[in-house]
Amino acid sequence: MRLSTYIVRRVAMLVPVLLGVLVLIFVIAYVIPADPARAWAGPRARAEQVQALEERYHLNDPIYTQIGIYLKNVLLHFDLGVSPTTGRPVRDDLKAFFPATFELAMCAFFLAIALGIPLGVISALRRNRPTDHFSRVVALTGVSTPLFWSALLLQFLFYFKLGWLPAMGRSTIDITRYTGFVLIDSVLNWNWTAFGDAAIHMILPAATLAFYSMGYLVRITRGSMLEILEAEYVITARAKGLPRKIVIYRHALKNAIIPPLTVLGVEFGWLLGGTVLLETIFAWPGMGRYAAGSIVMVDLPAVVGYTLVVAMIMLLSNLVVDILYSVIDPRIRVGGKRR
Amino acid sequence: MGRKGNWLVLGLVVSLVIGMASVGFGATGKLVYLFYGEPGEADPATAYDMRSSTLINNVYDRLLTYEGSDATKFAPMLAERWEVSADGKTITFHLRKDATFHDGSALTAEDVRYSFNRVLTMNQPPSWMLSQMMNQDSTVVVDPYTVEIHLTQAYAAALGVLTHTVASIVNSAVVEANGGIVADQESTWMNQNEGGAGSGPYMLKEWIPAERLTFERFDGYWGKKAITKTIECPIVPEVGTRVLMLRAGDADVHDQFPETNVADLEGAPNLTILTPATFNIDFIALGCRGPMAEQAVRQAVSYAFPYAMALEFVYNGLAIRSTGPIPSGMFGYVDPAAGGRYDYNIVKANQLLDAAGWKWAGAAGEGYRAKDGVELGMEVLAPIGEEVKMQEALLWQDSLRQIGFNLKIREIVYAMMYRTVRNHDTDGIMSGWLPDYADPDNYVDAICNSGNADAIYGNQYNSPAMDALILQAKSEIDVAKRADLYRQIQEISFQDAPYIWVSQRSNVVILNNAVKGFYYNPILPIDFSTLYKEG
Repeated sequence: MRLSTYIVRRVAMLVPVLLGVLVLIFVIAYVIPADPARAWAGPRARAEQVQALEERYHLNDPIYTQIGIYLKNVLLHFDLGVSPTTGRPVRDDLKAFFPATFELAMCAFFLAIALGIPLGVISALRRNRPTDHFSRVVALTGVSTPLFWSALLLQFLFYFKLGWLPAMGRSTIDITRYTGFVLIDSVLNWNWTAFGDAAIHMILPAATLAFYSMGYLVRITRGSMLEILEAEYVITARAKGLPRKIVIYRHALKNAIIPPLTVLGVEFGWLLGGTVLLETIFAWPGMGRYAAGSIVMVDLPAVVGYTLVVAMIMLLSNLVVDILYSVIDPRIRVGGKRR
Repeated sequence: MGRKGNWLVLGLVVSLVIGMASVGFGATGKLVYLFYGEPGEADPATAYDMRSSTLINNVYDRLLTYEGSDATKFAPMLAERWEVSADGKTITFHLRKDATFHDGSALTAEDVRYSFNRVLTMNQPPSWMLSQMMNQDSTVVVDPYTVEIHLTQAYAAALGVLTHTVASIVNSAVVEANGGIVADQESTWMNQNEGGAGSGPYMLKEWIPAERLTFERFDGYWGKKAITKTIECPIVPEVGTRVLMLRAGDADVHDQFPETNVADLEGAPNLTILTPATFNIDFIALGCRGPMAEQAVRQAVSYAFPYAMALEFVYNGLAIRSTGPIPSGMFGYVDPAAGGRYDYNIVKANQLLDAAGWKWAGAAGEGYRAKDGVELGMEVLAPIGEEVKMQEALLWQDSLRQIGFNLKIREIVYAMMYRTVRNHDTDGIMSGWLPDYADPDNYVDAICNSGNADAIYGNQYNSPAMDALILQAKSEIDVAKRADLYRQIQEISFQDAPYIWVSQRSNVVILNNAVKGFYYNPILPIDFSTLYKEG
C-alpha cells in the first residue's frame, strides 16, 4: 500500500472512532444519576427555570435525539454548543484554552526528547559507569515522582526561595493574541520582551511536565540501545574498523530509536491529558482545568467538546508516529505484501 | 553551529533575561487581588456566584447600597433619595443627574426600567429575586431622573433585593448593540464583556478566560473616584500557589481564603489576617422521614452534635456558633436565652430517645437503638471538595454512636446531590446558606418554608404555623412587629429542630501590610475603589 493511501485510510478511520467516542460520552452522561440543569441553575432557581434549561439543552430528549441534534450542529454550523457553566460557546472556550495546553505540552515534549534520548544513549554507551548510574537515578526519579509534588517543589525552590521564575500564569505583558500561542504571538508582535516573559513563565510547568516523560524516555532509549549495541551487525561494523561515531549514530541509534518513537506517540497524548494538575498548580489557563471544572458541573457541551479534541489529537499523534516509522526504518512497509 | 545559529541563541538568551527582569513581581502602580476561581459571568442578569459578584459590584452601580461596613443601613448610590409608600407597595427613586456609563452616555430612568425588565425577560437563575416582587409593568419612568417601582405585593425586603448585583443598571444602548434581550436566554456577549455597559468606579479592561481579569479606573465616575488605577486579578485555583504569592508579596489582597490554610500564612511578617464574621451559615438538613420524622429524635441528634469541638478543630476557631436560621448581626436575629438552643449534651439526648421508646439492641451504650424493628439511624450527604463539611460529619458520626444512632456518610458531587435530594434518596445533607441580600426573609423563606425546604434540602419539613409566620413577615412594614415575627420563627425552628445549626463562618481576608482602605461589609463583595497600596 502506498503511504498516501495509508494516510487517507487512517484519516478516514478518525470519523467512526470520533463517533464512537461521542456516543460513549453521551451514554455515560445519560446514565449517571445527576441533575445537570439544577446544578447549573443553582438551588434557588424556580422549577420553570430548570425546565427551560432542560429544554434548551434537550436533556429530556431520548439519547439518540440528543446525539443527532449535537451532530447536526457540529457538522452544519461547527457549533459545539454553549457551556452552561462559563456561559460562553464551547468553541470559543476551546479556542482560548487549547493553545495554552498545546503550547505547554509541545515545549515539555521537545524538552523531554532533547534531554531524554541523549541521556539514554550516553547511559547505554557508558554502561555501569558513574554517568550511567547518574542518568538511571535521574530517570527513576522522573518516573516515580508524582507530578504535583515535583511541581510544588520546583515552584517553592525557583519562585519562593530563589525568586528566579514566576509562580504562575502564562505571561504578564499584554500583546495582541493572533493564534493564542503566546510564544508565537509575541514573535508576531515583534515584542521580544513579551517573548522572554512568556518563555520565563513556560520554564517551570514545562520542566515539571517534561521530567516524567524524560525519565521514561531515558529508560526506553537505554534499553533499546543496549540491545542494539550487542547486535551482530554492530559488532561486525566495529570489527570492520568503522569509526565509533559512525557505528553509534549511523548504525546503532537509527535502529534503537524505534521503541522510543512508539513511546513518544503515547507520551504526547499523556502530556496533553496530564496537564490537569499542573494547570491548577501553575494557574495555567489550559484545557485540563476547563475539563476538570466541567466534569464536576456535568457541563455536557464542554465535556463532549473537550473529549472530541483530545481524542482527535491522540489519533493524529499516533498517525504521525506510524508515518515516522516508515521514514526512519525503510524495512517497515505499511501493509506491504509478504514476499 | 554557524554564525546565524549563534546570533539566534544570543537573541533567545537576551529575551529570557529581559523577560526575567520584566516579570511583574509586585509591580507598583497597581494592586493585585487574587481570584481563587474564574467568575461565571459578567452579566448582572445571569451571574450568581461570589466571583462574578465581585466583578459586577465594581463595574456596575445599583440604585442603592449599604453604608460602608454596616449591613443594616442603606446608602444612596445611583438614587440620591427614595420614598416608600405607606402600604409598602410603591418605591419612588430620584436618580442623580451626573451619573454616566463608561461610554460617556447619561444614565437615566429609562435605563433602570430597561435593566429590571431585561432581568425578568431573560429569566436566568438570579431573576427570582426581582420576579418575586415585580413584573414587566412594575417599573414606571416618571421623568428622565425619577422612577417608580410598583411591587406586585408589599415586600419588606425590597430595598435589600435592589442592592443585589442582579439589580445593577446596564446601559441599554450597549446591550441593544450587542444582541439585545432574548427571552429565557442568557447573553453570551454580556457574559464576557462590559464594553461601556456599566457605570461603576472600574471598567472591565480585559478578561482572559482562566488567566486574569484587569480592571481600569473609570475617571468619569460620578462618585468618589477609585484610588488605585489598575486592579489586576490573576485566577489562581491552587491554594498553595496563592500562599506563596501572598508571602512573596506578589499578591496584595485575598478574601474568602480557606480556613484550613490560615496556618500557612500565620507569622508572615508582610501580611495581615482579618477574620470578620460573614452572614454565611452552615447547618445539617434533617430529612423529616423514617426515624427522623419524630421531633424527639431530631432534638436528640441536635444535642449530640459536638458544636464547640467543631468550631475549634474543624473551623480552626474562624467561625461562631449559629443558633437558628437567621445569622447574628442581621435584623431579626434573636440571641437565644439559656435553653433556647441545642448545646452538646449526650445525657439529655439519651433521655429523649429513652422516652421516645428507642431501645438499645443490647446493653446500654453498645450497638444501635431500634424501635418496632427499625434501627435508629440515617444517611447524610457530604459534598465532595468541602473538607469542612466532611470533617463535621465525621465528628457527628462519632458522637452519635454514644446515643445508639447509626449515621452513614455518603460523599457526593454537587451535580448529583440535587437529584438525590429532590427524590428523597437520602436522609440529610451537610449544607449551608450564602445570602443573596441582607434580610431574614432570604434565609427563612428558603430554609424553613415547607415548599422551599423540600425543594432545596429535600427535608419534607412542613409546619403550617411556620409558613404562615414567614408569609406574614414578608409584607410586614412595621419594623418592631416584623422583628417579633422572626423571633417566633426562630422559636418554632428550635422546637421542631428540622436543622442542626452549626456555625456562622468568618471571611478570612489576607492583606499585604502596605494595603490600606479596606473595609468589610458582610453582604457586599469587596470594594476595589477604596483600596490602595502605601509606598
